[in-house]
Amino acid sequence: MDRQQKNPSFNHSKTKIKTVSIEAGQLLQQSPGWLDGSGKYSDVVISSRVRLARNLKGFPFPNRAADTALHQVLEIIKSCYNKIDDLKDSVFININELDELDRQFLMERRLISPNFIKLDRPGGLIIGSDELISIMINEEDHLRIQSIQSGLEINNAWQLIHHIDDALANLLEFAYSDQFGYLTACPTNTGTGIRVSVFINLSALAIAEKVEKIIKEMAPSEVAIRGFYGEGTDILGNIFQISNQLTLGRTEQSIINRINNMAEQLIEFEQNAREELLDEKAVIVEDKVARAVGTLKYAKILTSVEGVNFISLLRLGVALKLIDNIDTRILNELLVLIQPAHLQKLQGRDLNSHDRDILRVKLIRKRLNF
Amino acid sequence: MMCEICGIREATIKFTQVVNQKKSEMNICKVCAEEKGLTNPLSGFPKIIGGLILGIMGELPETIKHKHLDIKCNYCQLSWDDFQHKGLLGCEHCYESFTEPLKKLLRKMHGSNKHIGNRPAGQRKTGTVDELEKLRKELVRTIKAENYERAAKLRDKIRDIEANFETNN
Repeated sequence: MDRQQKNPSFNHSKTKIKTVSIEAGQLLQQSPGWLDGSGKYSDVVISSRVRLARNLKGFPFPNRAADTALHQVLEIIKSCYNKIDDLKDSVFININELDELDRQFLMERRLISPNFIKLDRPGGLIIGSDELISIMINEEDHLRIQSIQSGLEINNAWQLIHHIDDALANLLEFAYSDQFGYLTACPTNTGTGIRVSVFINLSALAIAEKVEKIIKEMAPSEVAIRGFYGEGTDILGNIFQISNQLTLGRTEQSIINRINNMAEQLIEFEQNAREELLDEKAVIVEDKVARAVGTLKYAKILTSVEGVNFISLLRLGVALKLIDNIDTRILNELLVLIQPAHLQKLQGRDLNSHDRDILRVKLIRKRLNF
Repeated sequence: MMCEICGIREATIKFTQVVNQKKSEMNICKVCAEEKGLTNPLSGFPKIIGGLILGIMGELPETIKHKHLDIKCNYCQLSWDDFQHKGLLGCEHCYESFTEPLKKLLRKMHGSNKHIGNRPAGQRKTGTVDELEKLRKELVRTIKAENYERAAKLRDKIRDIEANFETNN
């Protein structure tokens, strides 16, 4: 096939496509594979994610495309994604058919971005089995492909997404130039279009009040660290995101290595801090974990901020062997399940903030057999 | 301190980010954090620019301000000034229409304006392990001879072949 005509000449095939209006119920029955607590250093690292930004040649980027063009892009991708082996068992969702709660539910599972919640133009979502792969269609770029793995497994996530990217490139023609690489709507993604992020739980460093110092000292240029932390304030789960800032003039592998090295350094600091805590301040950390257990056992009302904080402390308690009979997988899953849209989906109806706070703590008790 | 989103309640959560060694912070209350979906640390953190959280307070461009230019994209008609305002390019042809100012902008942003990563699968040069070995040897010779233009081409070829091996194995 002439590559120039590849995209426009795509005929809308009659292949049978699995679609859902959203079977949120179906997704509720399963947990995202990236929360299963497997993978390297999963006591510290929750998940690793790689995403690629791609656009189809011959169509304006979503921010400047007419709805008809966006619809065409959607149809082209819909007609070919299930020819790819890695996407065989995936599900296609037309985002416009979803209400806000469904969209929020998908965002809580990291399947869509906050931008997609507000999308009122043609857009879609492909969800791979186990939710390890997902593709947003017509977000800021025509395609936002992401691969998530549990633990520090950036290379595995990269291998899988690289494979899918190549398969897509054999079916579609991407906007690409030798000078600038993959052409994206925002110049912060130009080049490789890659964003690598690791979500890391630094509870011991936070208890030892070393997070600020370490991040300040070791944050290299090219890397972004984000999280909820700061002196004298509530800390939201002590979960931090580290990700690359630069996408051009570097190879994918060097970007991956950079984030991987930084994650390994942070893991080492966290592990040392855990040992130090047990040696020198055992009673302090035991007290914190015990209070978390106690609150979750007896509280009647629990905000999501508190929920995330206590679950994060239980993760630390399990890692330090201060509590047993709790599976890290269940704790990871709870981080998502206690979020507002998940609680409402579980209950099957809209709930106000107060009712959610009541349901949240009941759900945690049930899952943890408290 | 008051919440920087609602300005009514006491801020008890501090969202911090360090980007390119620059730290910025935003103080918010529990209610706003929950309303804005910030209580889910796994759904990805927002970015803060100029005291605003992106994706919540509306998108702000992350471009570096460039002087006014009277140019437009031949294809989608986006003007350079509009791009500066919005932070988003309109189509693949914008990269041709705005080549020179974009090169400057990308260099400031990424420290480089030349892609050295993977090429799309269909556009990669293919080769065998033997050829790869030969190219690598040639690359060493070329660099020694200080023929950098040739070396850059060889490096691209080697990367292509390596990328194909990565996905085929």
